[in-house]
Amino acid sequence: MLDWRSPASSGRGLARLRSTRYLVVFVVLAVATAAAAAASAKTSSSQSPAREAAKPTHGGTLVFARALEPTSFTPWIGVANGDIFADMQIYDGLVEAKPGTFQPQPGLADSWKISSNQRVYTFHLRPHVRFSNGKPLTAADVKYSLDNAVSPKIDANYAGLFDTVKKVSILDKSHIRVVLKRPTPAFLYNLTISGALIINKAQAKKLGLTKYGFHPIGTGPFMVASFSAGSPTIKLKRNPHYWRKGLPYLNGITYKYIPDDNSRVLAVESGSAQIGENVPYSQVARVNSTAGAKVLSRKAFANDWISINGYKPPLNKVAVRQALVYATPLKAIAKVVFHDLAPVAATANMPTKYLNKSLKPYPYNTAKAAQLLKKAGVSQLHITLMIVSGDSVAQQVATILQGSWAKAGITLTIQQKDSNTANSLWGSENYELYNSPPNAQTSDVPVDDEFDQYMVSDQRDHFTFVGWNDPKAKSLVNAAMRETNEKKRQRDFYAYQVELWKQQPVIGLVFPPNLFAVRSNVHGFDATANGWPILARTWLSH
Amino acid sequence: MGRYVIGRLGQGALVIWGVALAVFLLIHVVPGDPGRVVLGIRASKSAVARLDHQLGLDRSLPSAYIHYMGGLFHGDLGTSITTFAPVTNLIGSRIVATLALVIYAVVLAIMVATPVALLAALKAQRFADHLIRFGAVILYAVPSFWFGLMLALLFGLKWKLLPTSGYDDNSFTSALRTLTLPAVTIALFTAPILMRVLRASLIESLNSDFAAAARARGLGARRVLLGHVLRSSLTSSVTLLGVSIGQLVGLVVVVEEVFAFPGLGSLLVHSVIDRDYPTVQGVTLIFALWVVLANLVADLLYGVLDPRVRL
Repeated sequence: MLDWRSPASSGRGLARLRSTRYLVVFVVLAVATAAAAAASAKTSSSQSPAREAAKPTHGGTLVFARALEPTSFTPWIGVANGDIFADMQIYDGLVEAKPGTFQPQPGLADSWKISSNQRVYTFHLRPHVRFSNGKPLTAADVKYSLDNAVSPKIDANYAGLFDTVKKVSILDKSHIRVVLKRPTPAFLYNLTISGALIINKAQAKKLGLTKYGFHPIGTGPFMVASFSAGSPTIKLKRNPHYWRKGLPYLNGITYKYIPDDNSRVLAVESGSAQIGENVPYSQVARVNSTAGAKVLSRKAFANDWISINGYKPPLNKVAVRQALVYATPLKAIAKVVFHDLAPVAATANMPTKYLNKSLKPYPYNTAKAAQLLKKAGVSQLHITLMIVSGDSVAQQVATILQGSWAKAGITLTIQQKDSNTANSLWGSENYELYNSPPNAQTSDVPVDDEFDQYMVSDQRDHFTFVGWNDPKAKSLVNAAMRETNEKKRQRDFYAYQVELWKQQPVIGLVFPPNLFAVRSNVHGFDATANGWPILARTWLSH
Repeated sequence: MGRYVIGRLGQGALVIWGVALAVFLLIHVVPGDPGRVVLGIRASKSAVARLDHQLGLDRSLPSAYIHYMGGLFHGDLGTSITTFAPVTNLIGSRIVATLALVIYAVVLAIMVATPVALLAALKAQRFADHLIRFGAVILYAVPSFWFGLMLALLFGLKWKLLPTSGYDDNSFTSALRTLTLPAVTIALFTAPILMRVLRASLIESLNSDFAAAARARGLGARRVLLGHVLRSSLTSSVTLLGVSIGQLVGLVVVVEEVFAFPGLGSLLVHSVIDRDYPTVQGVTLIFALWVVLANLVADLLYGVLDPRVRL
């Protein structure tokens, strides 16, 4: 090889050509490019420590990091949480869920009367309410929206909750009447769901419900400033016509869709977002120790459970299902996987209004589990648990179960599927056990009716897909759903939960909370137990 | 040259058709019902069936394929099942972001790889060369998503210099800021490969007769190195870049997810999860087209860099 360092080289010689010079030049260029990018104005997020301010202040745009992306602002088309949480900022319902309680509170209806036979509800519409386009809310808008909500053809997801609605009619410009086929104690609670939100009839008729979803008009605290199909960012701005005077405090909200848990939490920690939802349990302590951020935990109407396919022998045997529960170390799972942030569940019941707190979780007892299996005539149980790939919580739970169930003679195989495949297999009852992601099983209403009727497979397309067709449980739920006497209703729900506890069609694990990472300059933020952020009263200190 | 280009484009069309067919078949055989995704798990089976029929999802596979190819010939990539928007619009809203990301990443990779390769070649088999090659192996072996997160932690959280997610194209500066971390993540994966290939070519060229002859003719060392040696060594790197575009596509998908970057990669991921067949097919076609064109450009550049090559 020619020695490029040879003194025989002419010119300035390679010694001076050392690539160190070029290396320096190129590296400087690369660093300069990065430095130029970094040296420009910082992002608009506030990073300074919050000062304690007693009085809410108007102004500012809050950046909210979301785990799910929205697809449509039409309540009966966009039905996933990504849509619902956004809908709740731009629409209102006749009644609303009140955070921290089970009671619905007035919304667009400021009062209502219920007939003595509990079948006729007459709502008085709040006066002077305007849509975000300045047009007044009318009884026609309310009737149109409710008619859509109760129609299975329009509202495939939630119409079942309104299957006792016989007719919605306009009495006059301030009154709407809803007549039910039978008394339905859950009716007012059911009106708090996203499917019963009130939209602008004229706009929906003009555009059609599909296009309307991109050009929505509502009466809520915010209105859509920009949203396009497939866009990961939604910008909302203050609704100048919002009926709660003085609200919202914020000028706007930017919803940023950040699907990766770590990136979402990082966004809040770094200050590029002020609120982030679905904080992983393993990161809660870290976020709480980060300057300027903390985790807000809110009780959720959710149960992280493992569905058992009761259609498949031997899982159709009560003793086998009880064995699985006895072999499950619930307290250890709550501690190790959920970091003691989620209380242990005794059954698959949601922590809604009629939760029977006298029922205690089965104690961890692998010997008893083995005994029950033997009694059921099952000597060696080989079983598969399906989880969604990437669900680290389910992975940890499954790993713990593998070890503890083995002590009872149960061999567990873990099967990972993508979410759509998992739901598809679950929905077609082509599974044995399925642990859906935490908070996937969430009641939309604060009362037990919704999920209990799903569980007994009576009035739905057996949504829980566990094949539990116990006549006694079914009759108790049906009775509770019709019972207008509060004490008897509670008694029936409690008795149903005793059956649930005895027969264990589903392994209830914990009641997972809703966890939000919040910057310390955010005030007044809250969320309902359905996980819906309440941002009308949220304000930023600077 | 014209004939060469036309011939290559013809071959490319065949490749794209093959990719389109493969993706069509794969996405249709994967379990999961798009109608169920749209309506939710609580919707009745009859409602799901009704929507499937409305969207043409209950067509037979051959019928669906004919319908799809028919649309393609008219430039219609179909309508997204989950967002109801034309797929061309969805792609159009994200393609610039992904192109910007890839171009920025490739430029960064070249800016890092070239001087490092030069140094390694000039110091071949010495400590600096060993150190550079060892560093390249480490960089190449580290998973890109982990690296991306570490960069985000450092530059986004600890030093608060750069945003950790999203893309802001309101100005050139904001675009550059939001592109930097994802681009550096990609560049740090691509640069080691480029560096190794370039280093090997440089060593070969430095040893060659033409380089010695050029020096013997009295040309300055810098001119020989940059004008002759480097130029002739670049051909293999250009070819490598063209070939590695396919790998870059895979990397882009991962990096866009980690940084919540609203590009084609993240669109593809979510479309697959949602069983949004038209969008999956459309985005994959674009990526296939991208790979074909990148390879064609690489081959054309080869001809420019090496006049001996006649196309």
